[in-house]
Amino acid sequence: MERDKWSSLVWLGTGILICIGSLNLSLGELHNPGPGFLSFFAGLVLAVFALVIHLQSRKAPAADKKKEPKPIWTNRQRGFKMALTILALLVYAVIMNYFGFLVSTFIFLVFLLRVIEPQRWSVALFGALVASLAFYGIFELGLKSQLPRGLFQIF
Amino acid sequence: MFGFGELFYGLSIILTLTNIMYCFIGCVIGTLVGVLPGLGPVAAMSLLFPVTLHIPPVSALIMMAGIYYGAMYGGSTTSILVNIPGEAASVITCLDGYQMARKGRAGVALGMSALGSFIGGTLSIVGLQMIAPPLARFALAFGFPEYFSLICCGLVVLTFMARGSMAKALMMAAFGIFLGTIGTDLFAGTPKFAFGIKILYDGLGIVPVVMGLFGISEVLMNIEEGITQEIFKTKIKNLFPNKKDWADSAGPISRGTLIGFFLGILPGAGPVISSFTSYAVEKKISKHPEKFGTGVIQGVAGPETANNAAVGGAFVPLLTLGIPPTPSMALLLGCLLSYGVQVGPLLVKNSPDIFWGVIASMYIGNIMLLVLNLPLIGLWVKVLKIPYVILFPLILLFCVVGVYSLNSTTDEVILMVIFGVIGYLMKKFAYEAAPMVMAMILSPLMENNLRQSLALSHGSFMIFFTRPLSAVLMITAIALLILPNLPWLKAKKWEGLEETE
Repeated sequence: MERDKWSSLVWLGTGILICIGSLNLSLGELHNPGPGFLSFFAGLVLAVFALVIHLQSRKAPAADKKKEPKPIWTNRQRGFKMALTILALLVYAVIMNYFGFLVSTFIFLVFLLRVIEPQRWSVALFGALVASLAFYGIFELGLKSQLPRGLFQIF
Repeated sequence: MFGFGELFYGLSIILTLTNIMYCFIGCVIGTLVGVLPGLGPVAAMSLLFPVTLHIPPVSALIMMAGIYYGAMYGGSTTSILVNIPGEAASVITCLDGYQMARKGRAGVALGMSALGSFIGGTLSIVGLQMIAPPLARFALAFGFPEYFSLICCGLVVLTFMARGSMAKALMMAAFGIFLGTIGTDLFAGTPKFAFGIKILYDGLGIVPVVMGLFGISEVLMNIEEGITQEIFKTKIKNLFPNKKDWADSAGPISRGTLIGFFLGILPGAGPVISSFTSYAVEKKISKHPEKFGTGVIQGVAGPETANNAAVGGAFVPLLTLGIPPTPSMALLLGCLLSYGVQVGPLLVKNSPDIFWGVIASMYIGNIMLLVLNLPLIGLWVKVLKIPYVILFPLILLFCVVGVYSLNSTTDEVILMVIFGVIGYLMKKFAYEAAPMVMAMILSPLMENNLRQSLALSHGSFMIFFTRPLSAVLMITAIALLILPNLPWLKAKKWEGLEETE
């Protein structure tokens, strides 16, 4: 299958990198294995099986290739939204330390409710506010989770 | 006999207001995540992992176990009414459950599913109660080589049971072993693959990895593909099956219990494979296999019983050997380890409150779930009507807050997002996450036992073949690696299941 051909190459590369990293850590002796011993064999198994899958995917008969179920990414617009969600999560994780939990959660939720699955402004703002306060209440006040307070040390 | 005295001791632990409350919370959350598509028991247990650190270990385990078996009950509701599985173990229930709903028999399907789940779940606890203590006594004879061989055998069984390509599952197990080695070397004290990143010095956390692979990736998939919820509009009446329904379901329930319990013990099989196998078996032995998929009650009773029975089975290796057979069990193990509880054969002896308390709680929990899922079914139907547009931001928020509150660091949130992307790509390219997670969790134990064994044998790998028990486990592992590649067996593997799919 086409998707196996490319994904196996990524795993092959990963396996080789793990082996190199393990060798740098030292394999030790058989009676006294070093820190890289187990990870080296794990990398080796990963690389060998990735190679097997790669070779199998290249040898697959034409009929099998035609059987490819469906393209990996079907809807470009929704795929873009999914990528935006990943980005939003990463930005949210970073800004939480600066703006604190309540403010950053509010911004994050408004973004999701306006951009990813567009809702009316009133719904997005009200929903984000209620959810942020509810989470703050449950985790910070109820479960004493010590959520980030940000640079201003308020929430 | 059968540990009745100990069971009463367990009941004395669970029958306190606090523990009953935790058991109830676990069952309610379990049913809720089972009902809601896109949030499974693993993600829910990960979410509550930080919460459990503030409560006694017995209560924590009772609650976490409640989530696990509660999800098995809840999953069927969504399968029957919406034709979308609430969680993976209820995928197969969609086939006949939804068809029954279309024929106006939604009530009977829901009722039989709950009653079958109750019977399977309860009988599997009896099995667990009978098998676990002698197995734990037997496991006391295990040394380093036996443990290493057992883990190897477990991982091979896990890859053998994988529903996709075994080679891919082996690759994932190997990658999981590598992930498990990240951290600081226990023997030399040197950092391994930490790259100067502070949070990696203690090793990869189970919760961010599991939340990413199972929680975030699922939301990403749903955002990309879009979820359309269309609840089949029918009046839910006659929840209790009639005589004919019982007669038709008695066999599937009995077989489902046995299939679920014994497959549940095997690493990787768990509730998902158990439900598929039960369906395949019922279809195979039925006089009218052509009727499967058109709304026959056997197609609901068998799988729903099996996925609940598998829960009891899954506790056997965890509580007796300290080896988790599913990612959910791995989280329970992580929970126990975080309390400093010695998990393994000595658990029964050293922490009888945990062992018998959990077993007793499962009896009580199953009764609670029967009440939650039969008279209160209307409530769960209302939950199903919550649009995904509202649910997905909440799921993401739960994941972020859950991971953050574990160690109060946003670095682990970033780690979770990275594993979310990895999980999403793995789903897209048909690589299973379960072998990877299991191997990652077992890797430190594996490494320790391997290195100790080799030191013991002065570097000879023959130590794994000269000790009888270790040899049996190793030979089983090797046989399982070779067998699926034999031409006459290659076609047979999962023939029934593939037919079902």
